[in-house]
Amino acid sequence: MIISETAFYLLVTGALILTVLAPVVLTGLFLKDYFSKSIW
Amino acid sequence: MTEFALDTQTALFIIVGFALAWIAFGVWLGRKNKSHEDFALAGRNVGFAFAAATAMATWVTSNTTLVAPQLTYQLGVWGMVGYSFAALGLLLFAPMAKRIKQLLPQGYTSGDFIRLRYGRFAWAVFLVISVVYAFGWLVSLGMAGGILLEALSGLDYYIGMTIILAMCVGYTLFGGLRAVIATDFIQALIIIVGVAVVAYWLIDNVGLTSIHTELSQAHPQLLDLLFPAAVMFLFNNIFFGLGEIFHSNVWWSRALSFRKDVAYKAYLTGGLLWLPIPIVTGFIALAAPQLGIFPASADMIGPAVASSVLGKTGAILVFIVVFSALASSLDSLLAASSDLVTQDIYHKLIKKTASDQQLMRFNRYCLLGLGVMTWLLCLPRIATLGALLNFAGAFVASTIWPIVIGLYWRRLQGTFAGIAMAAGTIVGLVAYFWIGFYVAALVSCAVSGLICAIGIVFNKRQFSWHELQENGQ
Amino acid sequence: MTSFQVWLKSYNKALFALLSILISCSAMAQSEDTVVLSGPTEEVRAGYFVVELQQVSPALRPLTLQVSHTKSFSSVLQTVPVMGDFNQVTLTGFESGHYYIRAVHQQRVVSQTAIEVTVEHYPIWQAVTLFALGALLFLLLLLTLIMGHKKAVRHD
Repeated sequence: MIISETAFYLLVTGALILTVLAPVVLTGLFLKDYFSKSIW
Repeated sequence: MTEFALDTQTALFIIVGFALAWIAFGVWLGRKNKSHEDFALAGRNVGFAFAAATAMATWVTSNTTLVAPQLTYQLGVWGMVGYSFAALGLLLFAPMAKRIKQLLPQGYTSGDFIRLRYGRFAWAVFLVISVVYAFGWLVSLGMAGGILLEALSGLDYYIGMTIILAMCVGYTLFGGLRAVIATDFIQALIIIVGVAVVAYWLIDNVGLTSIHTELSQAHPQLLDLLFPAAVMFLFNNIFFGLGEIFHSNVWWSRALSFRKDVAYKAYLTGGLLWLPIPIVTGFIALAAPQLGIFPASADMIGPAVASSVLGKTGAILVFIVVFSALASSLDSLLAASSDLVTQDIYHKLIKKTASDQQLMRFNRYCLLGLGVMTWLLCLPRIATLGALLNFAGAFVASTIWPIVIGLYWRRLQGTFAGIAMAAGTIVGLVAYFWIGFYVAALVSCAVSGLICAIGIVFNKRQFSWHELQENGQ
Repeated sequence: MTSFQVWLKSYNKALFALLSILISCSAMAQSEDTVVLSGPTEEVRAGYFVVELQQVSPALRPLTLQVSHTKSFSSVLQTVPVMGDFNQVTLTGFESGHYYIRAVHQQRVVSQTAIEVTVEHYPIWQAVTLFALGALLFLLLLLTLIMGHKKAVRHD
């Protein structure tokens, strides 16, 4: 049973979009901690 | 003569530059370390951003950037999806991290918990498992560092391995867990941006349709959702990952270092952020046949594709990503292992009256000693030692049930927990050699779970949670 | 010893030397012209395997491998370039079946003999059984963890 092209497309692009979101989320969290002086 | 993706001088320039920058950063961060608690647990007050980033980055090991593409090249779509299920380790550890922080507000290590909850016999078994795993991982990371840097740039194995080990020991020695966590944050950003750029380039220039067409014509098995070997390996891999995270002090010391109420959401966020990464790194390998890239050995597929499509820029990018992935795991493991030795062996067995300053000094010597020992073990360059981690699954998966039950239920006693871990490991190893790699962790976890269940049925004594609070802590 | 005998002896020596040179030249020519391939001798269970190349002279680079279902290579399934000056290639994604592999340099077959590789995937029932056992154990663990977590939250 071979994975369909659509499913393959959704899997890879979905994963890529989520991966790209990660640095955005992490930087946002860092800035929030930085301004509230709660990094450490 | 072999042509390397990157010339040796550039490679040497990059790693020496990074090493000096990280060590300087470690020294700067280390100014705040006044007590052993500051050094080993970053003052137990790490905020959400660094907590989530360190949970994610430490789990992005060199394996995520190298083994995920390797497994995808070998096992296809299931290889990358199956590898991403290792995120379950972080996700399921989230509630446990909260519980750990609650039960052991003053605790230091995973060994502390096992000793207080189950007594000395189970503790001894647990320490053997921890040491086998930690050394297996340390040595394989050190060797992977040397081998990879050599494969990518022709940089001599001994120079590459020595610099990466010295750098990690250097900044951890000065900055303690604070340096490990802060560098993890930056390394996480570098790794994610690097793999995303390579994957995007492939989608944009090669195209998902043409990759799918090429694979379904020439390598159909890679797109098969019922690929037998991949289906067999799936749960074994999950139990291996759960065992690694549940038992290792790398994850316990982080849980204990996070600020109150941060542990749960940090591991959950870290796990969710990690989940898609192996699919992206794995996908890079699926583009290889379309590009006419067939590697000498499967573990080189990721770097081979990246440096081939992006040229010299790609080679530099791959080099930095792999270097960061290696460092983000190596530093964590060095720090967590030296904490375990300092707290569980030096403080509990050798010098019970050690002062805070003595503990901090011993921890630093220990870190240096571990670094030197790892370096010595990496010297012979036994390539097959990488295979050591394959059967480590039998060791670590045996700890899953004793830890989960021990954290939440009072009925399981030490003798059964110790036997469960020992028997699980032994039967798991037998299964590894008699049946195959794909059952070692599964069998180990099942056997250990069964013994724990028997232990609960036959035991009448209830453990009192107060026993976890040691005098003076 | 007559002059004829001396001549014959030196003639024999020269003939022997010439023959030795010729033999070694032909051996060299053979080893420079051909490649020895070796692959897995047992059944391949997961669809990927390594093919090793021996005695590859630099003159034979770039080298490619051809994969076919038939010994005559009447139809070639895959053409695989050998990377750089490596002496092995990892091939992947094969379904169950018999495969023949030979080495080619500039459209000339350079492997002494083609090698045969048999791929036989694990039976699907075996894979599904292990999958089901793993899933069951995982579900048990998940339930234990959820129950424990809920209990702990209640006691907070």
